Amino acid sequence: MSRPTKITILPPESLAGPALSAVTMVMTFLACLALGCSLLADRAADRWLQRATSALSVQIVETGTLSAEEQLPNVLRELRAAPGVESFRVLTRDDLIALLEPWLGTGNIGEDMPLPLLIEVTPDPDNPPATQALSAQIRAIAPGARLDTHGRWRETLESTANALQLFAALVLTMVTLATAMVILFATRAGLLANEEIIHVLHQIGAQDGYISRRFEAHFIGRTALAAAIGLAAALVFFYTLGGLVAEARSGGFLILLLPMPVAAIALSWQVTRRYVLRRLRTQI
Amino acid sequence: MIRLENVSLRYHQGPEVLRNINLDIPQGAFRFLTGPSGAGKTSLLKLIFLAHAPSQGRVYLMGHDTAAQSRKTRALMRRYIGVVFQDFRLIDHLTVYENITLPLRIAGHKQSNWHENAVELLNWVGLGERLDALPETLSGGEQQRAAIARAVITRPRIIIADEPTGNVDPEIGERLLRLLIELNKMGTTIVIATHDRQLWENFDFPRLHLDKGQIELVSHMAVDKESGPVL
Repeated sequence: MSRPTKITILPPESLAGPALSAVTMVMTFLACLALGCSLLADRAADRWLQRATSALSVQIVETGTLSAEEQLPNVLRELRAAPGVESFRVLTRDDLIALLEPWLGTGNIGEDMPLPLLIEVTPDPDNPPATQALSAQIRAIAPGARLDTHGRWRETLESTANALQLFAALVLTMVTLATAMVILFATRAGLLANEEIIHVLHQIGAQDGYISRRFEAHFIGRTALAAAIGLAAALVFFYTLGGLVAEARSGGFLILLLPMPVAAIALSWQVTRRYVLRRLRTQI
Repeated sequence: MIRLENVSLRYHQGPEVLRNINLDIPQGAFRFLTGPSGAGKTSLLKLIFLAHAPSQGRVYLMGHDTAAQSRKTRALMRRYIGVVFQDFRLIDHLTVYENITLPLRIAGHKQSNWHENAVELLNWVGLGERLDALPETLSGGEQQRAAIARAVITRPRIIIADEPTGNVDPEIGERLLRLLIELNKMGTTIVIATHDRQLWENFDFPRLHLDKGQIELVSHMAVDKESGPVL
């Protein structure tokens, strides 16, 4: 007569079921969300920073003795000679009005309103100019000229991106801790519910590792299923978000979320194993 | 095979359950352990089958000081000790067949190597027709037979039984005793705790009597001479 080779020694109904799965699913979803949003924000910040650092401008205002127009030839000469400057363009008055209109309103800039001269400088991306030296040289030949590297804007963007990363790391840490605690309590309840079976197993020669593996198998199975559902929900979320942020739909981005369920499974395995072994060691 | 030196046992801060017990049971011996309820019989058996550690003294099994062994080694030592619990301790959701073959599975033996022997043993203890039954559907006697089958299936070197015939009719009880005697003839050391006067009177084996935490030999003069002043 053939008999099943494998048997389920710990009754599944004595171990945490749907509640643990639901929590793990939600936690995996949140972890994916935190990681995904952090990645998207980080990439957006990178792009903005790249744009910000790839654009320089020179603003020329009149001084007590020199008008802006009088200083312009010297500045252009300096820019032409400066290493690392790929190109530059003097903005027309219409360009300047278009830049100011969002703040001052359409039609509010009169013909008599004094505007500075603005030169848009495109640095060589492979060999950008030494901005401090260039700024000093321009200042020396045109006292009313100032090189703007958009440093303050870049710093603000960098600190915002760092804050977002920190926030995401904090969320991931909290989610990890909460998940670990839930698995820990579920394991503890499982140990208590199966105390008698564990005693019998010990008595017939089962080693701690053998008993622990019964628990690990159960919780890994549960976590894997719940984490897969959590990941799927996150993928749907980001795919939907792709309507707003195109990158959220890219395969390269979505694949970065895959480690989350793997991490959940690893967490479940380690928490269960360590806790069970620790508790078993308190017995003879 | 089983040696206890100055062994005392107390649970937590409670009174001493066993007091300064010295005991030497040689390999291949058969001993009844008797005594009134609360005398410490089950506690003594627990020390022997490594379910408890003594508060004082040493327990030697198969020549090894059990306190000096690692957890892993103690687990391996338990594989050489078959235990029949007073309350059977069959696992409720496993069938009779799965329950009695559990020690073989834990030891990592291949099912193809033991399946026929397991079925044969179950037939021998009268459970051949109940292989797929769950413990809760068995009578008390059937559960006890299943528990005995689980204890002997690995052919252990020591068999410890706590009231093994308590819930079976005399005929089955005697049959189970004969199984244990057969195993004893093959060199298995047997210790049986029992209240059943008829049992120890029908079978002429040394009887250890435990009372008020102390042990004495009260019957059978064929004490193992090579062991000196032993019980």
